[in-house]
Parts: sequence; structure tokens; C-alpha cells
Amino acid sequence: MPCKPILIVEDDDDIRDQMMHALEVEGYEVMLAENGKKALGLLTSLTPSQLPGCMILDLMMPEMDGKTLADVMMRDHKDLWGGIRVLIATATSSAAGSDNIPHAMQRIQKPFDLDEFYSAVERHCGKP
Amino acid sequence: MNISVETAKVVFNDSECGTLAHEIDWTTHGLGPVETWPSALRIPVSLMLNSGFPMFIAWGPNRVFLYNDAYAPFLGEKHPQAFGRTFFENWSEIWDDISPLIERVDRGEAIFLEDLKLLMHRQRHGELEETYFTFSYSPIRNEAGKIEGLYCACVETTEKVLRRRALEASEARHAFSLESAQMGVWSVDLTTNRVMLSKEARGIVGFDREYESPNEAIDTYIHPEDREHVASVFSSAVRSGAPYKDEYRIVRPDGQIRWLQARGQARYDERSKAVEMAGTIIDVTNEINARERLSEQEAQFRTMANTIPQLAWMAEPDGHIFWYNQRWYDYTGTDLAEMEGWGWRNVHHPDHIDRVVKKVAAFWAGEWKQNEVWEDTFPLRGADGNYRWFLSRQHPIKDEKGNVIRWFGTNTDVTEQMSLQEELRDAVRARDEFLSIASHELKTPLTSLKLQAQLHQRAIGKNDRTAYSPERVDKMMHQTDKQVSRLTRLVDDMLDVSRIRSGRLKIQRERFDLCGLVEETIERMKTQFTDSSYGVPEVVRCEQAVGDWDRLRLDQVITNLLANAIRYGDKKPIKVFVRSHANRVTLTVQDKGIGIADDAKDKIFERFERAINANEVSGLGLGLFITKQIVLAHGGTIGVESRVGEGSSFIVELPKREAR
Repeated sequence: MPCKPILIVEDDDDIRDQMMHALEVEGYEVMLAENGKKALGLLTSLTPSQLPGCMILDLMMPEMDGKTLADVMMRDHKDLWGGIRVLIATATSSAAGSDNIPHAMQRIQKPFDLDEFYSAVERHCGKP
Repeated sequence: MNISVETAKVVFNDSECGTLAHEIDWTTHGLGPVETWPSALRIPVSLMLNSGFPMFIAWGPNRVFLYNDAYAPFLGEKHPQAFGRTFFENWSEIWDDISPLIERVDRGEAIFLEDLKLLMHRQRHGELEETYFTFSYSPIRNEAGKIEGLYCACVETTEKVLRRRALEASEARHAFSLESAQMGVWSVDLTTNRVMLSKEARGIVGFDREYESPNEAIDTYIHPEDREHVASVFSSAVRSGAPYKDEYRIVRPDGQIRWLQARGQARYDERSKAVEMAGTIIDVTNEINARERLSEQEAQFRTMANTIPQLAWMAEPDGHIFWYNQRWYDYTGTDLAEMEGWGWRNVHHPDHIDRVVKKVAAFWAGEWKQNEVWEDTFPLRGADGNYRWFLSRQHPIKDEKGNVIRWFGTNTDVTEQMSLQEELRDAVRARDEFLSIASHELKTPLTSLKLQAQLHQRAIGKNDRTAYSPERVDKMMHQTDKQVSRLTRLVDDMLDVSRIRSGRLKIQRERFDLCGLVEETIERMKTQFTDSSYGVPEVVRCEQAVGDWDRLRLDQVITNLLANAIRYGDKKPIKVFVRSHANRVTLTVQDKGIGIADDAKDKIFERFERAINANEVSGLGLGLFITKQIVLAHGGTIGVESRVGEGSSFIVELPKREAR
């Protein structure tokens, strides 16, 4: 049984496109959102069976940042969206502090190696 | 018997001891019946009993002890049993002291001793007493010239000896105290005029001699400038009878000048004639010097305390403030009456007063560790009603024994420092935020470029033909170009900031048309407008505006303002105006976007500042700062007109020629 889709929330058009490409060539199904607000809209529009199993989340984004999105998902829709595993992909350097997301599985530091990206995705989101 | 009774009456009188002698039955006693007594015994006994001077007689081989009433008290409680016993029985406790004397009497010697110390046992249950006696022992011979008895006349001198000894001790103490107090004693005999000085007094003045008159003494050692004064004070004390007290300088033989304090009192005879003036002198040079230094220091201190920029005050050990410097009154607009004691609380800020009072009261009560310095920072109300911040410190002033005799405190106005510190903290915060943004912004294009390169490498490794498809290659080239120019722009911006900071922003002037440059720039940025689904900006008005400017730098200005309009323009049409005036041109870039709040309008041109949260918009926030610096370097100005939700207009005004 193929694993559930992966949601990429990333404001930089090129990086979003490249991550999508990297996952698709490996056979993953990918969903895209360019900021937190768009991601919320997308998740709301999905039925439970359509929900992604995993989310690769940028932190610094316009409209709604990654931390706010993760907090809203856990606070308001934990029963529906609490099971979506969160991987952080960010260029900000500090792990501690205001942008800390306690339930995130892993933090990938930009710029990352493609191998590191794949192994994190495979560990937390499963094989395609 | 009659004869014997008569004889006894002749020998024994009716004194107490005479009565005792009567009552004794001498027939059974070692001396035998009285009528058998030789006249050598009878006559002295009769003489003795009739004398008021203390005496005793010891007779015969057993030395039978007979004494008179005046002697009885010397025996203490041994009297009256002592009468008629033996010498040894009565005085066994001093026998060692007196037996050598008795032996000498036995050999015919008469002895006189003054103040002989004897330890006597006179109270039955008492202790040995230290007594002193002056006495004579003489032998009594019979008709044949043989020594048969000892006669003693004595007087007890214990009281006299002890008194003399006490006096000696007291004199020794007195001398010692004069010496240790370095106090000299002098006296002037007012009948002869002679002046006497004690050993110490001579040591003090330095001349080891006496004087024929007070004037001679004055001329010998009193400082020339003080002589008249000394003579006048002395003679007026003699005349008035008031205590004499004076302070004057002397010149010692070695030329040393010392200060003396003299005290004295005249003594008068029964006809109220002054006969003597006597008193003391002490050297008070050190005290006078210290006093002068102290008053000098006090004056210096007050001058200083009124000169220093701080508010200063002094308090008693219990914290009662009794003095403030003028600056305190000037600043607070108060006076001592209002401030004395704990009145200072009135000028403290209500939010701080409780804390300050608690802290300072604990300090004054000695609850702090020794050598700990009291320090606090709090606001004080000025005469104008405004508060300023002061750093308050206080130090104890101690005496030689280390006791706090007062507190000295200063309050330093630190309002400027505090606001500078705050500005500095803000600047550091802004810089840190900038560094974190800069790092983020630089990493974003790097992430994209790295991903692209590795994806490509992986495709090649897998021999994936799709990696070489024209669409994929085209997209890749486009992305690479975009990210590299983004990196270049970031680095250029940072370099520009660095140049501006170090004053190395150079303007290379050439003559060109600003309107033309605006059109060129818009043409070059066309893809950005279309990518962001904006329409190409409408150049509403472009008058030919030729001037001497730096073409590359003005390109940067136009690019920054347009990029800004794209970023905050809410995808609504952007308009550009270029207007030419006599000596200047204006360039306006107008958007209909989110706008800028009034309080942010000045800040957006500062380094590391942007009007909205860093998370929401990408970029370094350096664009407007650099833009403004370029405009300023051209001698121009830049401003913004904006309303939140309605959009912003950035207006640049440039002189056409470089100002001379």
C-alpha cells in the first residue's frame, strides 16, 4: 500500500518546485502550499482519507509562518490533523526559542544535502 | 597584811590595770607578794600605771608582763587576761621579730625603733594585722645593778604609716599621669614674682630653668607675636580671679614652634591678696594642626560638594539627613526644612519609594555586610515636576575606632546614560535580527542551487533521460539565474551598507535623462512584474529631466523602489511619475498596497528596519536604507506619503547639478 501524500509548505517558489520534483521522481505523491494560510485552506478542503501523512514545513513565511500553522493544527484540529508528522526544513539556525515546535519529528537545516532530505522523509513518512 | 594592803595601794592606783593588779594574788604568782617586790620594780610599775603614755614592763626570768591602760588597746582582745601573764604568752606571734631586741636589752642596750612593722594577732578570731610601732626598750636594773626587767614605751604608728604610703602612691600616680599626659606644672609666686616649672613643663618649653619673673619666662620662650597677648591674659586672670586659660605659641631652643594650652588659677591670702598663680601646660600642636586641617577640609569639602555635578547629602549614623548640597535644592526646588530627616521621600517616585526606603533602612540599621557599598538607581522629581533617573551611592565616614559617624551620599543623574543604553540595546537587537535575517536570506538561494545541482547529479547517475529534456533544462537555467542574481543582490546590498557605514559611497556623475533610465529599468525588470502577476508599472508622466547623477546608483534607487512596490503593492497597479523643475527633478513611485503606519514612516529608512514582521516578507530590509543614502549622496531628499490599506508613494527629489 503506497504511503499517504506529503505536503510541502514553502514560500520560495524554486525550492518548493525542486523539493516536489525530488519527491516525485522517487514516487511520492506531493501536495503544495506556499505559506501557512494556504496550507490551512488546503487541509480544510480535504476529506480525512485525502489528508497527507507527512508535512515538510518551512518556518519563515509570509501570511502565516510555520510555527503558527503547526500550533493551529495541534490546538484546533488535533483529532483530524494531529497525526500528520511534521518535518521542519528551515534556514533559521536556532532550534530552541520562539520557533520551537515540540511535536516536530526532525529539523532539516537549509541548505541541506539531498541524501539527508531523502533519509529524513523515508524515516518519518515511509517509502513511496 | 595591813602593811601589804597599804603597800599595794601605793603601787597600784585605781586605773583599770591598777585594779587588775590589785585583784591578782601575787603571793602565788611568780613575782611574789607586792611588799616583797624590790623598789626597782615597784617604782617603775607605779610610774607606769600613773602615765597616760602606752608602756609595759616585763619582769623577772619569766618576763611577767605588766602594762597600763594606755597600752591595753594594743593588745586587743588579749586584754585583760594578758595582765600578769608572760611576755612570750602575750606576744608569741611577733616573738621572732622582738626576741633579738629583748636579748640586746638583756645585755644592757637601750633600743629605739621607729615604725617597726609587726604582724599582730589582736582579735581572737581575726587575722594577723599589719601594724607599725615606734618604741623604746630599756633595761631595768636592781639595786645591785643586775638587769631584771625590760621597760617599754611605745606608740602605734600604723595609721600614720599607711596614710603616708597611700600618699606616696598617689603622688607617684599623679607624677605618672602628668608625665603620661605630657602635662607640665608651673607656678608663679606673686610676692617674689619667681616662676617655677616642673620637670615636664621644662621638657615642654625646652628650657631647663626657672625665671625671675613671668616677663622673663615670656621673653624666653613665648613666640614674639604672642607675647603681648599672653602677658595681658595672664595679668587679667590674676586681677579678676577667674580661671586662667590661654593658647599660645612657643619657640623652642631648636627654633621649633609649638602650640601650648595653659590653664591655671590664682590663690589668695586671707586679705584677698593674690599670692600665687599655679597651673598646667600641655602641648596641643597636633590637635591645633588637626583642627586647622579639619576646618580647611570642611571648607574644601563644602566647596567641592557644591561644585560636583551630583546631588550630595550627609546623614547621621541613624540615617537622619542633616545636610544637602545646593544642587539638591536647585534640582528638587526644596529647602532644608522640607528635606531634613526623612523628608527626601517626598521627591521620590511613588513606584520606587517603598523599595528604596526598605533597602536604605536595612543598610543604616547595619544589616548589610561590612564594606558593602550601598547603591541604587531610582527616579527623583525635579522642581519642574519631571522625574530623572539617579544612581545613588553612599559611603560611611568613620572615626579612628571605625565607628560610623556619618553617611555621605551622592546621586548622579544617569538619565542620559540610561536612554543611551536603551538605544544601544535596541541597536544591538536590530543588528542581531538583521544578522539572523541575512543568514536566512543567503541560505534560501543556496538551498535552491544546492538542491538543483544534487538533483541533476542524481539524475545523471541514474542515467535518467528526463533530466536533459529541454523543458527541464530551461527551467533549471531560469531558476539558477534567478537565485544567483538574488544572491548577488543580497551581497551587493550588504557591501553597500558597509560602504555607507565607512563613508565610501562614491557618486560618479555623468549627464543623462532620468526618464530614460526609469524606462530602461522597468524594461529590465519586466519578468519580475509578470512573474508576480503584476501589470508592468505605468509611467504616468515622464518629462525629459537631464541632470548630473550616478547612473548605476540611480538605477539601484529605481530598482529598489519598484521592488518595494511589488513586495508591498498587493498586486495592484503601480504608477511612476517623473517631473522636471527648474533646478531639480522629482521621481514618485506609487503603489496601492498595504501602506505604512505613521509611526513606522521614519524607521523604514533606517538600517535593518522594515515596517512589518520579518517573517512575513523576504529580503534584508536594507533597500530603503541604501536608497536613502544614495539620494542623500546626490544632495537630494526622499520621503513617503502613505495610509494604511491605501498604499504608499515614495518621492525622491534630486538637484540637477552637484551643489557647489
